[in-house]
Amino acid sequence: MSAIDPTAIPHGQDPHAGHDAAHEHHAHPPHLAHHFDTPEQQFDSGKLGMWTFLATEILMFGGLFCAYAVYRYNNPDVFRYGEHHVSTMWGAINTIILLTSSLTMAMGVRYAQLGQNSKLVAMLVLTLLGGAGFMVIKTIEYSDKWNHGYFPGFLNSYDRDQNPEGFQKNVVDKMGSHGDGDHAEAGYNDDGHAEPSPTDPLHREAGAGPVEHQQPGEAEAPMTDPQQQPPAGVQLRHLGPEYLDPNYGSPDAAVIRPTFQTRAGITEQVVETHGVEYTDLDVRQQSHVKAFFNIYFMMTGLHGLHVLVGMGLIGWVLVKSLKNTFGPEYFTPVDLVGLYWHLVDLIWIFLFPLLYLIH
Amino acid sequence: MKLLLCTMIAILLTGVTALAQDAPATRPTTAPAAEATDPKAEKLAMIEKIQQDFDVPAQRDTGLESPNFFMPQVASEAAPATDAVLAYINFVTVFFTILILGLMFFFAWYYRSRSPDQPDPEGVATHSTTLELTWTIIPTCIVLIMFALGFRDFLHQAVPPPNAMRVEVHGRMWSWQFTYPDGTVTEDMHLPVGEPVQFILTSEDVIHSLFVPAFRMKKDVVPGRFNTIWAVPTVEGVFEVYCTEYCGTGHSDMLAKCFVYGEGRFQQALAWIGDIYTDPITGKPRSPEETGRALWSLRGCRGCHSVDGSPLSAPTWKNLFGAQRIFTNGSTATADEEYLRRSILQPHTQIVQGYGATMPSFAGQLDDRDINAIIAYIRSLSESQGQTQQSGLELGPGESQSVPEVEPRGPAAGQNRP
Amino acid sequence: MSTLNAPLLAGIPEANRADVHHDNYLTHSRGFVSWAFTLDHKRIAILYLVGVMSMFAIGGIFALLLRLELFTPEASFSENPALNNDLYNQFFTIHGAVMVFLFIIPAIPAIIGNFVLPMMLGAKDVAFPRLNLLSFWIWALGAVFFSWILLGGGITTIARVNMEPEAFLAWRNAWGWLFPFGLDTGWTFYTPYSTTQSTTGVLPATMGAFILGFSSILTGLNFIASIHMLRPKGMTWFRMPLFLWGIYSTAIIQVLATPVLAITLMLLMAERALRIGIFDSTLGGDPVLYQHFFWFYSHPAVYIMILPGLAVVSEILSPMCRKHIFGYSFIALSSIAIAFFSFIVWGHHMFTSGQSPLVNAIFSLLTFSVSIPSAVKVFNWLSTMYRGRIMLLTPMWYVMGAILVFTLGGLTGLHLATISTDIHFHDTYFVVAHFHYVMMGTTLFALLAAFYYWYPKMWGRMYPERWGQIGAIVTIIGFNVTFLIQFVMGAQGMPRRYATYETQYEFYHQVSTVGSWILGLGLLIALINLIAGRKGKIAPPNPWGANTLEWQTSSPPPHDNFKITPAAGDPYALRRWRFVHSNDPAVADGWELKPEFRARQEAAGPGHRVEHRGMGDHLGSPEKTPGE
Repeated sequence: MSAIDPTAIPHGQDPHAGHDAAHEHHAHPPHLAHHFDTPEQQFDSGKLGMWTFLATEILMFGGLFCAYAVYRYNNPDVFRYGEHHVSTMWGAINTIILLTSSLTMAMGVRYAQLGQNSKLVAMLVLTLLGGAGFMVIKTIEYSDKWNHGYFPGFLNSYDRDQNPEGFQKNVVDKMGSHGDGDHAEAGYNDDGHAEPSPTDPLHREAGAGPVEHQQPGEAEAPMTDPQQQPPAGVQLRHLGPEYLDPNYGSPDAAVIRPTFQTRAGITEQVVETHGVEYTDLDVRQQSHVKAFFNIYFMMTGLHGLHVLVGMGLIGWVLVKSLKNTFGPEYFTPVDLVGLYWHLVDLIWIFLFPLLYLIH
Repeated sequence: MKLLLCTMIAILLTGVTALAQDAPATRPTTAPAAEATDPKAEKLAMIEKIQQDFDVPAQRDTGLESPNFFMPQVASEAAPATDAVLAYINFVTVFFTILILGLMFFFAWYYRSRSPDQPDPEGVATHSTTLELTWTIIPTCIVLIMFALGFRDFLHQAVPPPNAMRVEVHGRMWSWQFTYPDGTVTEDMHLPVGEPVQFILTSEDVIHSLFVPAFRMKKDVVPGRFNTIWAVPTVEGVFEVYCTEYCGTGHSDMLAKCFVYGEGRFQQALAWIGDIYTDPITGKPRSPEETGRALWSLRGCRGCHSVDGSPLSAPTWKNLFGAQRIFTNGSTATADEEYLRRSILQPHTQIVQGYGATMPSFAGQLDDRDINAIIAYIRSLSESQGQTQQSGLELGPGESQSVPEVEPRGPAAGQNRP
Repeated sequence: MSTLNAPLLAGIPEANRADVHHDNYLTHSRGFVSWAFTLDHKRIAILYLVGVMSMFAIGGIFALLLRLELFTPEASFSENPALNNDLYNQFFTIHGAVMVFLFIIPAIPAIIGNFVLPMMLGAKDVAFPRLNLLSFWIWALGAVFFSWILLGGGITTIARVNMEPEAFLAWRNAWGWLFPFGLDTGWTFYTPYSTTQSTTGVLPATMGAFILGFSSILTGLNFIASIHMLRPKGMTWFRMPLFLWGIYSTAIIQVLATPVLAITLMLLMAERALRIGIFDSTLGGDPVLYQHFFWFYSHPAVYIMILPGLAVVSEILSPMCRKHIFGYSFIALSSIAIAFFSFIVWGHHMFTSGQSPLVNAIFSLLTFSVSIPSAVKVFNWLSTMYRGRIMLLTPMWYVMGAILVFTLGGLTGLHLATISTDIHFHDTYFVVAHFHYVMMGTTLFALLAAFYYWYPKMWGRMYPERWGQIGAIVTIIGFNVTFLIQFVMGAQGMPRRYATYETQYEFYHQVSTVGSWILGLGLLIALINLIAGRKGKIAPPNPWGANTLEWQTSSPPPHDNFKITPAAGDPYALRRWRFVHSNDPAVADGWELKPEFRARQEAAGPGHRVEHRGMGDHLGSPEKTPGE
């Protein structure tokens, strides 16, 4: 059967026949590109393109959020303490600023559509100020982190591989001078090692799987043998440090290989019952907690970059609007930049709770 | 264009220099050391010895037992099951290959255009929902069966029996280390026939992957995870063990053998191979230097410490003994027995300038005799500067005078990463 | 030189009959600037053609070098095994990275898509011409990064060979920042090797791939907007040429998957430069997370590579068989289905990585879902050939080659989708053979088919037919000799990325290497043939009797493609055209619109754009805005 009539060409009189040909002779509307037929088509194309671009942005940040979730799942203690060192107040102020600037941007788009240029300019300036304010506060926050030594990555002078001298100075040397009392109170043995506490809820929860499968007696046995086999099918991160640390039990085990891989032994219960503050932690634990700032700087840094780009775009639109370019006939750039600015705002609305609020 | 030209030249140069490397000027002028220290020959002698002494049959002709002609020999309990799934898939795919390609070439020939003036075919169907549904539903059913078969087989492979012997597999760049329940450490896999063995896989550097083709067994060795896999060897023999996850320069040398022993001979062989103080080939006791060299290879020292002066991520052992060491805290020491001993047991107390604190402590892993043997070996590398010892398995002849294997992976290299 | 006889032009509306031999897109303006900063989609396509095919040549040379090294089991580049292995590792990495990021991903969308897509839509250009140009220059910037690595690798290797180890180290410390030591991570950049161990140019390479991602995103975005917004009157979604369906599906993947690669590579760069610890198990991260991220992009990316190839096959098959395509809507929807499924199957790259058995099972099941739309396509192609009038011309040979390799590659995919057999085949030459069949074979043959098929439109000349066919057959044979035996080799257990191997695999490797020479010869013949075609006969507007809109303008097209937008009908209504002999020996034979349709074409008048109801419609029409 022939489902499609091969001869079918749409025919019949088109009410707009000759429209295209007319284009060739009459001037295009001033902002219409030659390959579009109508301003509406051009506007819709731009808008579709922008929405598609926003989808890519969301997926990009989506990847970052995924990384955050996985890292948080693997290292809850990092976030337990890390969040003590961000300023919720500054974050909240920034949220309000950014939300307000989104409002002014939306109003700007509205005024552009209505052709009220002076109001559009005012709104754009306000939005730009909002973005600038956000960045200023971000700078204040960053310099605060910086002054406290919360750097990303190896700049953090506690990283053993990248900065052995700093490691030596900050970890090895200081570990020796630490009084035992501090550790004992925080639930650490003399080596600064986590003392697995049977009543520790987090430890029990994570350790529940392996313990069930163990032969009787094996779980109770002190895991000092580095060749001790782990239970079958268990991922490393679910095990205590004795599995991770090949030097566990050796005299300098704790100093040699800080168990970055696992929780530093800082658990909810320890924090709550002993009231352990960040400053109570030993240097090694502090350096572990600083991993939070790797994520923090990555996420807020990438977002800040987007804010800067957005500010650049708003500046560009502002310059154009000062030349009275926009009106009901043509306001595509204002609209598209507005969409972008809302996305930047939206991402911050996710970042704020993830980094500042959730404990 | 210029850019392209440059890149082309770069490629050419790379190729040319690679070929130029064969020029005699860069070749080692001395002949490789005696056969006894040639690692490949050593390995072959070892295999032969095991085959003779423990009655392990030589590697069989490939493919005899497999229902699929192109598969390697079948040597584990899981392998026939996997091959059965494979046979089904092969049947389906060969059938469809013949069907599709046969029809395509037949149509191309039978319906070929004789002349461009020939009229186009008329009245042919352009659409048929019945046909479309047919070739949607039938393949769906076929692949669902395939999935079910594969999944059932996989579940069997995923759950080890509780009585399995547990062997720790430690992957590192670029050698394997197998640790048995009795504490024996070997470079090759030694297994008893007919008994389930569970492998617990750990890596200390990058991702590796343990692959035994004859067992149809493969699992990645991921740093920071304990992966497990198990198998029941069913055939005595010698089989290949590969690393199948790319892991750097020595990836293709990260090989091992899997020896499967008959009834009762496994423990015997393990005791024999685990005796580091006896030369396995000659049966004579090893000198401390020889023991030290065996430990250097077996315990993974060779991954970071070269014995020929080439810079790896840790100080070379060549001419180390008696040399002056400068540490990160500015202090110095002479590399004597006491220093070396401390470096093995508490490596982080003194870190040599320019290197990272990456070495694990060997306390509890090496006893005094082992440590003394290693120190004796290091010492021998300094005393006999003229006759550099041949290095481990992955280093062929000529390595001793060649350019470095890799750049140092320590901080010195890190700071200059582009 | 108005040698075109009137009947050949009859398919073209009067207004669109430009005197192309005096003014076409190639001659419209002259000079470097007019090419480098052109906004014309056709010229941008030519820019891509030159750039992308140069990268293909580089990748191909490295492939030949690899096969050469593998001719013998021992180290054959150098006596020094470490140097030999390093060279081999760098060569396969460069081969993979250049071929994937610089060649296959942009090949069909950027070259053929850019050239053909607007014309198929009857449009003057893509929706965002400036973005299109930007996209090319971003691609070029990405290529610069990879060239930097090649250059640095070459120079460093020379230094390494000729210097004493200590001097070499000192030289590296001084100049390593300028000359990255090639790249040896494999194109997948797996952590932690790439972040902690490799001493090669991982940062420039990931930066290059990161940049190339933007090029891909912008191209995809442009195509999506063009297809949505620029379709002419008469071209409903289900009257779009199948090539556009394929490109549309590809564009969706490009837009949705590439940003994930961007963030992955960004994290990788941060990890390597700053050690932030997301992927590093010693810092609390998870190396398998990197694999998940990477394959979340790179599995869909496989379909970015294949889908345009399949689209080209679907497009060319109909005119070459002189028959309406069979099962149009199923082929069209199968492209969308493949694009959709491509996003949910990435986990099959990690069956052996230690992810949970349940996850393995789910991904295995989902992976099979891709095979169904692929099978639907193949069966529809066969049905199109059935009772056709198959013109065994060069494009058709390549199309058949593409179907052949796609069938073999697709069916061996079943071995890899089944979990228990994949555990054996994973990371062996079986996988290498499989992905070369589906990705490289299908795409390369489709690309060559497209080059030949649109050659007359692109250059206004006909290529030499006989040598074209010889080149096609040699290429197809060479390809299969090279890769078919790798299935056997892989099943035997030969792991991939091995510089040296055991003697039992020697025979297979030697066959494969000889095959690579045949393949190289075939490609050389094709290259010479395509260049020689510039002196061929003058091409008529429609040399194949196809009914898509790009054949309804001159060959080569004028600067603006169409003065008036042609009306679109069924793109595969081939019966509207009939063969005519040229009355001039310098002009090739072609096809003309049959007189009965000619009248209708004129009556239909110029086509307009489809009325769009865009998402921003209420804002787009200010008069409708409330409050006014």
